[in-house]
Amino acid sequence: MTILEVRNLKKIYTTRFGGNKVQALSDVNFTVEEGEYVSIMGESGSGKTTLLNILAALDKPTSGEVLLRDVDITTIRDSQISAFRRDNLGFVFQDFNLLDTFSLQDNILLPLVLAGVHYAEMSSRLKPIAERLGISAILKKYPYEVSGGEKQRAAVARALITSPQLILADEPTGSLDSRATDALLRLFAEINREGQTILMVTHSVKAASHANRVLFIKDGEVFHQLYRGMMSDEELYQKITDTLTIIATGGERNA
Amino acid sequence: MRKISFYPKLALTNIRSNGKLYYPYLLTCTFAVAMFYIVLFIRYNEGLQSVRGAAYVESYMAFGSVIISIFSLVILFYTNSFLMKRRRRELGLYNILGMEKRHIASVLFFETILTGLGSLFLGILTGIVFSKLVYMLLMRLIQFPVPLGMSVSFPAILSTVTLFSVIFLVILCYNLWHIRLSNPIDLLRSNQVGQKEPKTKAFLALFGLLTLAGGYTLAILVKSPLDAILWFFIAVILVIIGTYCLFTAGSITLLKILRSNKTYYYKTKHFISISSMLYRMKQNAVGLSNICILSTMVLVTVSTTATLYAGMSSYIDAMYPYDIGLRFEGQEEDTLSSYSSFLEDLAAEKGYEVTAETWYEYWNISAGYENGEVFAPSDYNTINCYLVVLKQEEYSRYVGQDIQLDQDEILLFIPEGNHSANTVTLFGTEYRIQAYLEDSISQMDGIRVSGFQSMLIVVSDDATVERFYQAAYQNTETYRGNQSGYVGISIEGSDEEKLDFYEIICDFIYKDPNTKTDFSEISVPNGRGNGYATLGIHSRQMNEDEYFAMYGAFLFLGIFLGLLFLMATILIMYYKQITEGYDDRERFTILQKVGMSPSEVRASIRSQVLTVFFLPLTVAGIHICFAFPMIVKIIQVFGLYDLPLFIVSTVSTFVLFAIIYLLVYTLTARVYYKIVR
Ligand SMILES: Nc1ncnc2c1ncn2[C@@H]1O[C@H](COP(=O)(O)OP(=O)(O)O)[C@@H](O)[C@H]1O
Ligand SMILES: [Mg+2]
Repeated sequence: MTILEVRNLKKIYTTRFGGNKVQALSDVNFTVEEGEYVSIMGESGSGKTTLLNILAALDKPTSGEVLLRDVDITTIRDSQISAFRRDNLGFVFQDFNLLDTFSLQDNILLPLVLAGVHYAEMSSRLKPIAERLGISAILKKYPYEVSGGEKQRAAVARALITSPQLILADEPTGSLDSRATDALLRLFAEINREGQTILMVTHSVKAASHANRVLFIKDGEVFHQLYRGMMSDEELYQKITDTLTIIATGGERNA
Repeated sequence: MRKISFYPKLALTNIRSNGKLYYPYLLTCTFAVAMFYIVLFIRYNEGLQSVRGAAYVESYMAFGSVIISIFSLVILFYTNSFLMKRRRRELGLYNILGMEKRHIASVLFFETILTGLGSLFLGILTGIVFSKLVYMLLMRLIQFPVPLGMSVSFPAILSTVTLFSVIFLVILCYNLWHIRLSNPIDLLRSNQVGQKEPKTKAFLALFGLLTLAGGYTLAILVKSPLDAILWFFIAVILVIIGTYCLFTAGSITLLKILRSNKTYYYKTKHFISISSMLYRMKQNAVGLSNICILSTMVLVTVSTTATLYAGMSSYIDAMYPYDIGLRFEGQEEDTLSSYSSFLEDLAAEKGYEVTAETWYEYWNISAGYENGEVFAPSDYNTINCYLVVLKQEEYSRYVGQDIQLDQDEILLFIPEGNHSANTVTLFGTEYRIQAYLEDSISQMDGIRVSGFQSMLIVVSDDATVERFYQAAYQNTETYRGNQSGYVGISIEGSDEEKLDFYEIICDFIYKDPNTKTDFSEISVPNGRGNGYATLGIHSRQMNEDEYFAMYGAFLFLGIFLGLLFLMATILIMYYKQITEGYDDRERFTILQKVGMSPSEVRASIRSQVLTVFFLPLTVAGIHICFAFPMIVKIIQVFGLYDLPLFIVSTVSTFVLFAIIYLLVYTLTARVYYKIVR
């Protein structure tokens, strides 16, 4: 079943002074099925963050549609958008976006508190997730007291705790060392196997090679896509590298 | 050549690009310089010498200049250290990009020189422009029109330049020292280090609570005006300590207690505000207590001086009901009536028309007082009550109607007592109280019945007075009350004519050997009292001038210092808003990302910012309420008993201040929201 459908998405930034226009997305089309683990690859500046921000309803597209379970999120009224985002989407960001005024536990509970969930319910939801992510022991600590990997696991816990339809991740491994990166990617693969749909944006081949499907974005369009099929992580990794070489050398497009 | 001009140029660019931080600082420097110059300008102005009471004005201005210089040092230092903290990152970057520390030092050196020179120049210019206006305002307040001696005061400029050069030098040294100590990584990182969670200091919070309660209790419990002055400073210090402790430790303890209540804490409304307030209070507690204490100072200074000034006329009316008053102590029986007719004759001879006159005699007796009974004191230490005793014929002459009292009857006035008893025991004898006298009697010409347990008693005859007197002084020789008297006369004419008449009287009484006894130079032995007689002559007009000079200058200083404190308050508020803005911006974008709507975010910001800002004002209001009874007592020392007047001036000062506060808040809040969005 299709969970997300993106049609003819276009985004033009107009700078405040002088009216300089930057076309970040020109015509993006793709769909994500329930339970999929999709990664979107592209060079820096290719519009990945822009795309993700639009999917997250943090930004409005210039034109085009984003259907989440047949609801066009670009048309949801401003007053309801926050609640919609809170109930349906989970986020993991490159720079963690944890609030330093909250302990990890409170950071994780934040979306539930905003949704008005009762405290008893919150703690019963927190327990299994914290254990699953191996952060039970550090829940009382503050972001500045823990490592980057631990911070990112707390951010994942925060994304998971609302049981969202879709998890959106923007370069989640970008600020992590290689050990923490491996651990996080393993974690994403595991929660995907348990049924969680994930859409991850990255420019790291290694990160992308853990997904079921890889989309390549260039010049504001989806340029190419790869399915894992029966490939192992290593084989997919090789395939991605090849594709990137073709893209870089200006190869033919075949979406 | 090019190399030399590089640093000043960079310094100038820095000041410009940090305008949001630097311009208010420059403005403050300018303002402080201008104020200092103006106060000195007034102090050194020669025209002032022609004012009666110039000494008051001069000494107040001297006092004012000391306060301004200390305060300028503190506030400029505070602002500068704030600027340095904010700019650490930028300076670290210079360091990393290859500037050596001594190069950074020279940039800072030029920055300080530029700000110093700039604000000195602008400040003195502003001072010169406004000094004339301010001087005229002062002259209006002291009601004495004096032509301005000069328009620019060079000694004032010299002192101002000296003082502020020293201040800027101190600041420069601090900045250089600061740079020397820090390494570039620290400099770079200092803005990013995660904030540690504030520690709970329950003990400090408790201590603050106790000191504050102590200060408040002192303020409420103090009974006598003279004690009030002594205890006032102790109460002020206690309250200041209490305020700092409660703002720093108390607020955090309270918030942590709230946070530990899980069901309360994990509610949408409380969750964000409690945790953010925890950090806000950690960062701002000191700034907020500063604001709170400064606000309280503004309010107390301005309302007290305004009350004194506004109440001055009624005070003068009460103290000097007649143009010329003669106060006697230890006079003979017929002294008063003969002086009265002597004054009348003198006025007639000199061609003045008498509009009013009076004379009466009374006794001052010190006694002990307990449980509604007046008794003879056993020694000096048991004296706690002062009686003013008038015979009925004297009182009748004063009020202009015939009063008839029996031997065991009295008329009574007690300033703060209850008026329910029908009898009172005086030195062992019970007297019937025929009537209680009105409050207005407390300001009876030349007499002031005031303070704790003082009373005015009208009795039927000499025998009663004699009995009181004998009883009161049977045990003590230390202090004896005396027979006193008052002769007052008013004439038609201008202030100048009245002053002339006063001079004539003084000449006659003090200098002419043919007139009556010279009371002022020889103490004349007599049969009553402590054996000596004295006489004082008072001119209402002369005293009026002095009072106006004194209280006018006092009010002027109050307003001036009030302005200075207000400026500091505004500055602290402004910088607080800016700091908060930069810190909050990131926090609120994150909150939006995890599902808080922009309007929720805005509401949350607003409620936090409002709480933080109006907390000091609210606490200042509470401080004022508790200080009120004490200040009332202190004002009584200055001879003012007009409670409604003081209430009005305190309330209106507070309202005015709150309006300015609100205005400043709105303006700075705009800066804040611009940064956050
Ligand atoms: N707010 C913005 N205003 C103007 N231009 C923007 C804005 N955000 C991104 N861009 C531009 O859009 C393009 C895509 O940016 P982005 O989506 O951040 O790329 P990526 O995340 O793939 O590195 C870039 O050229 C960038 O300069
Ligand atoms: Mg990006």
